[in-house]
Amino acid sequence: MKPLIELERVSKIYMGDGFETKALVDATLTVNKGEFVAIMGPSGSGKSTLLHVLGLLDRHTLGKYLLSGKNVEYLSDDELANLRNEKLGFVFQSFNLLAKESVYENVKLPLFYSEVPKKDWEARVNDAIASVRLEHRKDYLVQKLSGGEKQRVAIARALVCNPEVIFADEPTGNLDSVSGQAVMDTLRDLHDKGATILLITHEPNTARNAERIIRIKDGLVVGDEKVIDRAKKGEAVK
Amino acid sequence: MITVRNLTKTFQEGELITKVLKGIDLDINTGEFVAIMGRSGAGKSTVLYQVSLLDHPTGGSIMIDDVEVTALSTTERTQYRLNNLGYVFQDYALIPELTAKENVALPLLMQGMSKDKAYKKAIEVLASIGLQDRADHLPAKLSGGQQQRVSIARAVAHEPKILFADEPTANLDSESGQMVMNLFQDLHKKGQTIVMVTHEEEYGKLADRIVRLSDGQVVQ
Repeated sequence: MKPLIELERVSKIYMGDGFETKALVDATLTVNKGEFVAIMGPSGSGKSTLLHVLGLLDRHTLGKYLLSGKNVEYLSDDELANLRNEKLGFVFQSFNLLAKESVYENVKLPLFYSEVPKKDWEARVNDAIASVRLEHRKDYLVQKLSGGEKQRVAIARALVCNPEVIFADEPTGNLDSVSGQAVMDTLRDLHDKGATILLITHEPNTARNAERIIRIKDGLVVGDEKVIDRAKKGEAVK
Repeated sequence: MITVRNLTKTFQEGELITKVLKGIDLDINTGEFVAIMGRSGAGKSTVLYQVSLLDHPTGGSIMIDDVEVTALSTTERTQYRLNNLGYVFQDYALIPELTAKENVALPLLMQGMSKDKAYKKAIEVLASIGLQDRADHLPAKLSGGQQQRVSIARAVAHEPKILFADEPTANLDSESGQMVMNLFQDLHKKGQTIVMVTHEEEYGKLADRIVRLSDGQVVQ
């Protein structure tokens, strides 16, 4: 089976004021469908750059990136936007929800940008809300929810187009340990059902929820190993 | 025209009851640009949230044109907001994985417009504020001032009756802040009604009128 993600010597170099910053250097890695991978590293290590490149939020400077076998280098901005909207789901530390809208409306949002037929929207939204176990909050305004619930809404929103990969960038960063654990358990449940998840974190205990950890330091991939002592569901993340 | 009468808002947390608004009367004419000012804690954002239907007041009434919006059901309020009101927040509130064009198209899509039409309109609005070459950029690729201008484009794309802005320049340096204010003045010249909360005197002065709040009451 072809890997979902293939990076071959991918670098990201930022140019500014006469000098260049290498945020990511010669990253080579593959991720298969159904994997749950954590990308770990300290602040400034390049892990967010890697996520931005993998998530098509930024273009790489050198090397080759194949997503589902497609070389993303040759895609126009519009094609990249369509790929992001159709194939990728995103969860960020700061939730990025529409506070004044209901859970239902928030989860529906990516469907506006997709090719999913309108007649399927309601079922899609309800399924996504059910998979993060927030059926009882469906009609609540987001601003009335706890931080952990908001992040689960963000996960449901990331899911609603049935993406090939879910990118979660420090999803527990703004949460207390109990809510953080609930969010990780939600990601674990999704992975058990077959979702491919890429988690960015600097917290070792959060990373232990994944099956595999890729370590980044100074823009270099310095480690890539299977998790031996994988966290149990419900185990504290902080 | 907005008519606010005896507006009150009380927050309760356990035993603690805080009266934030103590009977506000306020009239704002169609086409007016009004700045709501006051010290931190004076209730200025709370007024904005009530009048813009983002929150339910404890008492009093708000009329917008001929509609008593305080009497609408939750569903009616949501529909009213989507069709008639636009919002700009301090933190831009753009969706990071969507391009500028996609972000601006959001309220149009939520109203039920087709994707093609909504994108076309979004590009028009971005062009009208000099950001056409940023239409395919993600928010992270834009400066703070540009992000705020995209969020203003999003707020006015559906041609709302009233544009509400809560401290729109608070996260910006003075140059970007000035650009945002120029944009508000341009919109105002074209007839847009704007209600803006700010604590910055120099920006408040750019409005037609300043409403000053102190301790939950209009003082001027």
